[in-house]
Amino acid sequence: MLTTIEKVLLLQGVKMFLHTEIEHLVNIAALAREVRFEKGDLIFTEGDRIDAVYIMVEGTVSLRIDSHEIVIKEKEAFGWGDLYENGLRKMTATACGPTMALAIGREEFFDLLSDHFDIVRSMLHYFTTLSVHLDYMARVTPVPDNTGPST
Amino acid sequence: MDIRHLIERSLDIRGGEYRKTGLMFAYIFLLILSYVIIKAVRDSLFLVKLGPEQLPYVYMLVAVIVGIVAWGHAKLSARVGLSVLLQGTLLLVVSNLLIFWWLFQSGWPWLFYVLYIWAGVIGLLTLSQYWLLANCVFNTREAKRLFGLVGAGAILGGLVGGVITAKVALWIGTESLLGIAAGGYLLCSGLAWIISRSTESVDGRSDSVTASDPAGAPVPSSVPILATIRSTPQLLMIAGLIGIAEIVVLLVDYQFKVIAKESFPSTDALTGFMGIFSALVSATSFISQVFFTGRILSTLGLGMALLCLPVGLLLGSLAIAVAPGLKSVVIAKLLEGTLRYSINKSGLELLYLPLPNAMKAATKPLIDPTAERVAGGVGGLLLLIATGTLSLSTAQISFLTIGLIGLWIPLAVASRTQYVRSLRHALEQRQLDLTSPIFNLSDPHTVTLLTQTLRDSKKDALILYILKFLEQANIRPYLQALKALLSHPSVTVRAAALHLLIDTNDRALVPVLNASMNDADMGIRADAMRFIRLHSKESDACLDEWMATDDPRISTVAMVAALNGSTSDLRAKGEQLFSVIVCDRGPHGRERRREAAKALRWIRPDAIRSEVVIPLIQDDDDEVANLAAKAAGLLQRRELVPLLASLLARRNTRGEAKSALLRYGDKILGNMADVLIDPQEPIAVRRRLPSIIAEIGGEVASLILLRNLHHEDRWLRYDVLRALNKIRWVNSDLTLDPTRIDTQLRTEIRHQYEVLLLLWHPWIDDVGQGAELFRRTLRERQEFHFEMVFRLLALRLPIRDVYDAYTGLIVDQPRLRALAVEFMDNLLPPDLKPYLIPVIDQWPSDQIVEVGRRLFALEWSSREDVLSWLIRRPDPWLKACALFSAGEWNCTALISDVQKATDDPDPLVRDAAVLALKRLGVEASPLVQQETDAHHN
Repeated sequence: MLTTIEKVLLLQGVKMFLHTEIEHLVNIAALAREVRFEKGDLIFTEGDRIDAVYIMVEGTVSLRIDSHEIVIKEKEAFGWGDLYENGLRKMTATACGPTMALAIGREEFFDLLSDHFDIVRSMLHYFTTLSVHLDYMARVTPVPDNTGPST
Repeated sequence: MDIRHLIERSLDIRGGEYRKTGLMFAYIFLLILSYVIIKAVRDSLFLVKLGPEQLPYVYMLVAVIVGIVAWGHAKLSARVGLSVLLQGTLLLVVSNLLIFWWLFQSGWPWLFYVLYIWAGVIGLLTLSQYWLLANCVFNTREAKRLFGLVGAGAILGGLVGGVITAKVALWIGTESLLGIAAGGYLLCSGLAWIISRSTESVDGRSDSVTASDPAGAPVPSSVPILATIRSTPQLLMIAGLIGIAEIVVLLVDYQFKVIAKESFPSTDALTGFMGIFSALVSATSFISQVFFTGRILSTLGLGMALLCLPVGLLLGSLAIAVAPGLKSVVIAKLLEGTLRYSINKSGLELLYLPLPNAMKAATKPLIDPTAERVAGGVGGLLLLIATGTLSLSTAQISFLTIGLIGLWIPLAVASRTQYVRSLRHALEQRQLDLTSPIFNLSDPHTVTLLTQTLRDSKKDALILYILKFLEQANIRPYLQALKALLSHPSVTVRAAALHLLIDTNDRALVPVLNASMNDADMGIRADAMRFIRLHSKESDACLDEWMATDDPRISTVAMVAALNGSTSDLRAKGEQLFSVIVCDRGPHGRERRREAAKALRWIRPDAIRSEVVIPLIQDDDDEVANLAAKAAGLLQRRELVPLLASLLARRNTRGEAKSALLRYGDKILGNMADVLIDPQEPIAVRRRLPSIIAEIGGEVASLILLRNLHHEDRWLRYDVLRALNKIRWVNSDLTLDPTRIDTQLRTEIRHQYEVLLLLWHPWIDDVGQGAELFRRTLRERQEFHFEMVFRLLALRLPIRDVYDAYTGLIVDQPRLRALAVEFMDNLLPPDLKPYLIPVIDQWPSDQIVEVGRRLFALEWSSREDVLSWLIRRPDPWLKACALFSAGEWNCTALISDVQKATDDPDPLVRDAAVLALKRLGVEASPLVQQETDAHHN
């Protein structure tokens, strides 16, 4: 079993929490519970009720949506994309091997966010930076290569 | 009831209005009386002396000259005050009348031309000036009540003037009547002088506000007005109706005068006839206005109202065509005189109603007189052609009249259609003034239009707009539409429709309102129930039955009625049911508790016991708790404050709890201080209180916050300080106890030095996860304490200056930073400078360490020394980090400190201590190990 402080050490490496004050990570760690899966275990399937988000500690997880697949590795979070919707899971998560993750209950996490605006602010910082970056990448037009030999 | 009260109630005159109303009544009475005399004298003299064949010429001249004079009058009145204008005009009229009287002895024929035109001019001027004066004397609300009464003076004047003319003409002769008229105008002048003197706005306006522009508003240019008229079909039709009516009336007038002249060859007899006819027209016009106009408009509608005059004149013209004679022309002229200024005038006014007010104000003053003048000229020309070129007889002119009426009637029908179209558009745009006294909500076309809109409109605001005006109307024609609205999706619409139906107090509506008993909205259900009980023979038995029903919607409303009931028996039944519902955890318990919580706002405050509110506030259902919190905010009972505070810990109830506490205001500051200081209260609750206290504000609020500046929980301390900053930002003159601030300031500065000295201690560069945790934590702590120091400074120094300096210090701009340091160097009190300047000015680390050692005796010899010091600090996170590092770095010298930490109240610390012991190879006591495992599971 991981202690709270060990969970904090794991959480501080997660990109989403890079701007979160470390003592707020203690609050998140206090909510996080360890969950273990074996190869092929379904963590959640498309259409499930959204009840938690996950942070990978060990192993890899495959996320499938339609015919697309993403592989989640250590210190990455998954299940966040659906978090802010009241509906159901839009993807299926399967353990690729022996896996350990931290699961944070959806409602408890929202309670925590409502109590600690600093966590919201740090997450906003992460998401807005990411969004601006993705937007920039989408707008960048490749410059034609004019350095080739002229005829 | 005495006579005064009788008058007040029947005529709606209020105290202080008698004098001015009486004076204005007398003024218009004399004005019309004199004018009726002049008109009769003018007509008879003109017809006898010059003959009716001259009438077409004089009609055209009147049209042209009255138009010119009206324009000149408008220009003059823009420069001259109203009282001067009134006196000038009335005295000129008196002198002119005396001159005419004297000149009549000469027998000059042109004199009668002049008199005819002059009478047309003074009729227009004196009346328009009277109404300008009336607008100054009465304000808008008085005008609505009293213009009708004052207008009755005009009718009475016409009646008496006609009778006097008829009686006196035979006695003293036609010409001498001008003397009586002159006397009347002289009295008018006296009355105008008295009224002007007693009305401030008339005297006061002579300098700045002129007669043509009572509101002082700029007179709009006529060019866009003409463009507006051309592009607005409604306005063109109004102009057409006025014009065509004027031409037809002029032709009938000609016929009347010719035949009257033939029937009464003597001047005095003709004058007498004209007088008595004028009195008759006044009487019939009055009867028509009072008894028929409203009814025709409400029962037959605008279309019929607009058709009355043309149809009446058609009948009259047919009578003249078939049997030319005095009877026929009297009938035709009487119909014209009766209908024109009553039903037809009201119909024309109604046509303006759908137009926007600004458009109406700009175009109406131009359309009404211009259409009349132009039509007068055209009528005169037409008459000239008919009698001269075509040599038509008086009777044959009726065919011309009938032809014109043939155009008039379709135009009236088209105007009605256009009116409905404009009305629909205005309704959709909500430009319609449904409060206008001329608007009739019972008019069949209006009923159809509004009913259709109520039924088909998807716009709630539009429906509510109509329903608002129906409050002052007879809603019988709208009953079906209102019943249909009871199932409208909008609660507001349903409630408004229900209130209108309830206001009818019609017992027949009970079955309809029974359906509303199942409405989703409690207010609607309560109103429907009240109505049904009112019309029920055994209302209390009904209530018992409803309270016993399984449907919580109905039982709760019945409970509300019982609690608000007049007898103690009813109230006891209500209380009993309420006590049962608030504790109901059965299958429908949640729904019943929600309904009960909703019901709180409908129960009389004195009928609500706190014992039933408490379980609802504590309810685990957020909706129930929120509704109860809202009600608690309205009840404002002190015993509910701690319960409301406890809701601050719940994400979904926090907002409502805050609003409720704020509604209490400063009287609960003491209660909130108790919760804030109580360590037994959850920290999540305590942390919410400072911002609420700050929002209430004031000196007491700042004192409470100041007393809570020293909390060990740094986030609570931060929230308290932020709240104090907020109060001081709003009230920068607020002076706070400097001793408390300074004490806390020194504590925060010390924390700042501790962090800095730890950051620059050699052990921090060690490898390992513990050192990494420390580095990140201490950097964050450094920023935190820096902010805290400045927040505290902002309580002592000018807050905006401190804010600016802080902003300059944290941005990454060396120039700005240097300015901020310099500014703070000048701003800081001398006793604080030695502590703060080294930190603010970012002195080299060795110098900072030296200052820390000197000022706070901070010094650690080794890594173990630091960790031991941190483990003994009251800061749980730093303690946990130190314990973790002690285990990681295998600091066996710290085992006893670590062991002690396993008894720490904070699970985070205990957890870290157990982990450290494990790494140090020491077994934790079985009890501690058991507790730790339980914590993880």
